Amino acid sequence: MNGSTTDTDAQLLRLAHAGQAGALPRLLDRYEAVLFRYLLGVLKDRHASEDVLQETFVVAIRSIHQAQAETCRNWLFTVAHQQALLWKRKQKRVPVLVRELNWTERLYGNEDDGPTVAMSNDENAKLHRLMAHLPKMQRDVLQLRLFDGLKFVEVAQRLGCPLNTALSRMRDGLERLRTLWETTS
Amino acid sequence: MTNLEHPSLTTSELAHLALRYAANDLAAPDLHAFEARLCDDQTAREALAEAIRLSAAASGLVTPAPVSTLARDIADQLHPTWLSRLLPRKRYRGHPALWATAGALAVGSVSLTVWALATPSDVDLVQQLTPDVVRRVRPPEILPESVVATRRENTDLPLSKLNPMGWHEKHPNAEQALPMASGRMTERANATPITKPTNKPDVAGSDLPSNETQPTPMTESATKKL
Repeated sequence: MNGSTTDTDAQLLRLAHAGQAGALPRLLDRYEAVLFRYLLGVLKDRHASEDVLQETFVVAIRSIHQAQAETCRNWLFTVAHQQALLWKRKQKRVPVLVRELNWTERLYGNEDDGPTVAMSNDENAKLHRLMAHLPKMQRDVLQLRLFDGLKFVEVAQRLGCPLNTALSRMRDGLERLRTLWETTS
Repeated sequence: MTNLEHPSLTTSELAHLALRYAANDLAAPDLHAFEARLCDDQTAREALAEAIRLSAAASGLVTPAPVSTLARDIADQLHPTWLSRLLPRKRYRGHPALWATAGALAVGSVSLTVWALATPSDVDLVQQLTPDVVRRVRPPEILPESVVATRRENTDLPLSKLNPMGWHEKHPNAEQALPMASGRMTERANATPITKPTNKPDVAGSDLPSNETQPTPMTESATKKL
C-alpha cells in the first residue's frame, strides 16, 4: 500500500496511524472542512471547533481499529460529535462565555472576535449591494432576519407566509448570495 | 412542537431545522430534540454542516475553515518529537516560558528603577547634612608623619600625647591610675619594633624580598604524583 489517490478513508486512517507522511493531509483534504463546519454548528465557537477538530482526528487515527471502510464518514462524524459533547461537558465544569453564532451579531460586528467574524463597513455595504440583486421575497426574509434580528417565526408572521416557506426563501437567498459573493470577489 | 424524532422527516425539513439550529432560532424543546438527533442521524449532521456553509454567506466568509496548521498539530500530537514534548504547541500567543521570562525581566527592570530612585546619591547625602551633623561625623584628625615617627621612636610620651582622640580629657586620672599600662606599652613598643620591609635579597641568588616565605622544595613523592 503506497498511499495512492484511490485509497479509502479507512486505508488513509491506517496509513496516518502508521505515520506515513502523505496520508494525514489527504485525509484532512477530504474531511477537514465538512467536519469543521459541523463542529462550528454544534459548538458555535470557532476556536473551540478548531481544538475539537484536532482532537477528533487524533482520536480517530488512534482508534482506527474501530472504523469500518464502508461507514468511515459516519464514524468520523460520530467521533467529532462525541468530542464536541466532551468539550461541552468540560465547559459546564469550567463555565466560559461562549459567543453564539448569531448572524446579526456577526453582521454588525464583535470587536473582540476580530476581523474574521466581524464585518467591516465595506463588507456590510457590499452585502447590501448584493442583496439588491436577490428576488424581493428572498431579500425581505434576509433583511428581516439578518438586519432586523427577527426570529424565523416572526419573519413568517410579518410576511404572512408559512414558516417553512420563509425558511425555504432564506435558504435559497443565502445560496444565491453566496454565489454572488464568490463571483464578485 | 415538531416531532424531530420522527424518521419520516424529509431532507428539506431537516435542512430547515438545521438552518434554524445554526441561527440559534430554535426554542429549547426543539433545540434539545435536534441535538439528540445529531447523536445518531448522519443526515442531520450533514444538514447542519451545509447550513453553516450557507450561513457563512451572510457574514462574508467564503467557507469556514480551520487554521492551516491543523495537519502539523495533529502530526505532533500523534508522533511527538522530543522538541514538541518539551515545547507543546498551543493556540495562544507566545509560550509560557517566553511570558515568564518577559515577566521576570519586567519585574527586574521595575525593581532596579525603584532602587535607583530610592537610593540617594553622594551629592544628595551632602546636601542633607546639617552643620550639626557635619560636626558630629567629623573625621578623625590626621597626624603629620613627623608626629607618628616620634611616637614610634619614643613611646615614653604621656598618654595625652599618645591619644589624639582626647579620651584622657574625660579621664584625667588615667595616667596616675594606670602607670603599669603606660609601662607595658613602652615594653611592647620596644619588643616589636616596626620594621619596614626591604626589597634587598637576603638570600644569595634569590630575588624574593626578605619578608616573604621561601617556597618549600618539592618533595620526591610530590614530584612522582605530578
